Amino acid sequence: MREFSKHQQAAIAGLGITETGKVYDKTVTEFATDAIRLAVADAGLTLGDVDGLLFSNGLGGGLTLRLPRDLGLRDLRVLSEISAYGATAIAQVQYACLAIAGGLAETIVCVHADVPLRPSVGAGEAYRASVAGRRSPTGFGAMTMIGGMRGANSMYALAARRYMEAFGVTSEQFGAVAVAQRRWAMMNPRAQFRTPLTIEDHQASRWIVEPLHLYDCCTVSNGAIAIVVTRSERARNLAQPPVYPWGWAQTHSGYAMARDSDFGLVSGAAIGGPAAMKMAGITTTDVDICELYDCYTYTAIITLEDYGFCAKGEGGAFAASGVLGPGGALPTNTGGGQLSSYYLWGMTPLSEAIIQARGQGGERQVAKHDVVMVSGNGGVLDYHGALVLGAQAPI
Amino acid sequence: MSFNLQRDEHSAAFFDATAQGQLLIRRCPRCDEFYPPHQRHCIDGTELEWAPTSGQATLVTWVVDHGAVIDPALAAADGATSVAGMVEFPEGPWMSVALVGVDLETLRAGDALEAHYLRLGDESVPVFGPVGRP
Ligand SMILES: [Zn+2]
Repeated sequence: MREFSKHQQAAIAGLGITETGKVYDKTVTEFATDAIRLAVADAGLTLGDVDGLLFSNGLGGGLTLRLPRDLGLRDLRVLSEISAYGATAIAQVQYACLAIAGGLAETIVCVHADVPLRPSVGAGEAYRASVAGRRSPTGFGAMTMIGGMRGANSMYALAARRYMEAFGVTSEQFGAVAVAQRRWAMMNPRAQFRTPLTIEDHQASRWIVEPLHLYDCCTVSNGAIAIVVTRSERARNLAQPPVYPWGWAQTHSGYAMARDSDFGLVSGAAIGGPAAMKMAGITTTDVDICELYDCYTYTAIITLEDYGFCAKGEGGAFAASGVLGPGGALPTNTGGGQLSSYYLWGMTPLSEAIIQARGQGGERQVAKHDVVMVSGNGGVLDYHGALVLGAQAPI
Repeated sequence: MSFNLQRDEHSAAFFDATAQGQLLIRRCPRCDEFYPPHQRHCIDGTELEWAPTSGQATLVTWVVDHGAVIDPALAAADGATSVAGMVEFPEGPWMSVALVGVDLETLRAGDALEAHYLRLGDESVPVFGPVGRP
């Protein structure tokens, strides 16, 4: 028998996704306001019903506390920028639920918007530039960069190589994640990449930073996604099937970069996943669908392990067995994920989780969609958010 | 492209030592814990001291950045690819370093490496390669 606290009194009632990808005709604020209007309309509400706003910037920044003014929102009772990098979206859901349970506000919109892409600049280059432009290192920082560590791709490659060395996981097994997700993406009209992908394609793709091939790495997208969180009783009388947060956790591990460090081997998911499932009153066997943060194929694999869907070190074999793809026993990243659909940080897995829990996945809809496990991951496995969503209200 | 590596107040003693072919890490005078060179305070709050380390290390993990723009001095030492890694000192701390002269076909976590010093800009930078490499 689950024990539900008063925190579990809110539901996700609206979802708004703008056009995503190489879309150059909008500012970050325009993307955000478009997504918010879409989410509010999706819920069957108007902007006048909104009394809380939690916004999230990508690395490009640009969203400010002026956002309510741009929307004409007045008399808000909650307003904040939330940032935990890739764990932000799940944190936004958590803070919205807590704010509603605590009586701070009734209907809170959470939005993430980013415009890292510019015409005629490559995706990786655009993303790297937005990071590198922020500092000009001296001393140890400069020595690290000159030594070859130049941003997220390098750091994740370091983590992935340590993991591969420790457990004998192969690049082909990483590739199984990319291939499975592309099969899902081919059924998602919103996905940026919908042409077939094979393990051979994955292996033949250029190195981004070895051991990561091109198809191990997420895409980069312009766009925005917003959700509406409101009291469960209210959500039940709105336009969409409510989606209920059953359990959640944040774990921001912090690795000692020294002997016996877990860096690359175990992430915050190992604590956050079980904690969120315990709060939800479920175990991994109750989960119908996984929507996992997949900045890299490797990230999805260790999250599966850390959540307990397979044993530590067996995530590669687990992926290669075919369970993650359409028809598999554990449908995972059913919209194509960040690898093949769109990259809007934690809103990518969260948005697909909402679509699936509602039963609105169209051609790619998973038949049993009562419980969806969602992850968020930020930094280099530094920040983790776990969220269990249910299609039914907690009893 | 040459990188003009500039020391700052926190790295000055480190680069004074590398110029002499000596590698420094950090040590807590209170609890004797060792830290990487960039660290300034122990978890217990104590300001860290410099401590010499042998220059011997083991490989923890590594990456190959095929498209990297690298300093000519590094390129001369190791060709066009940029190999970087995390090494572990005998005292325990890790450091992110450039790797030179390693054979990518046989490289493995746990391999023994040792420090060599390369002049990059105004400073001598420790890079790591196989033990006994000239
Ligand atoms: Zn100490």
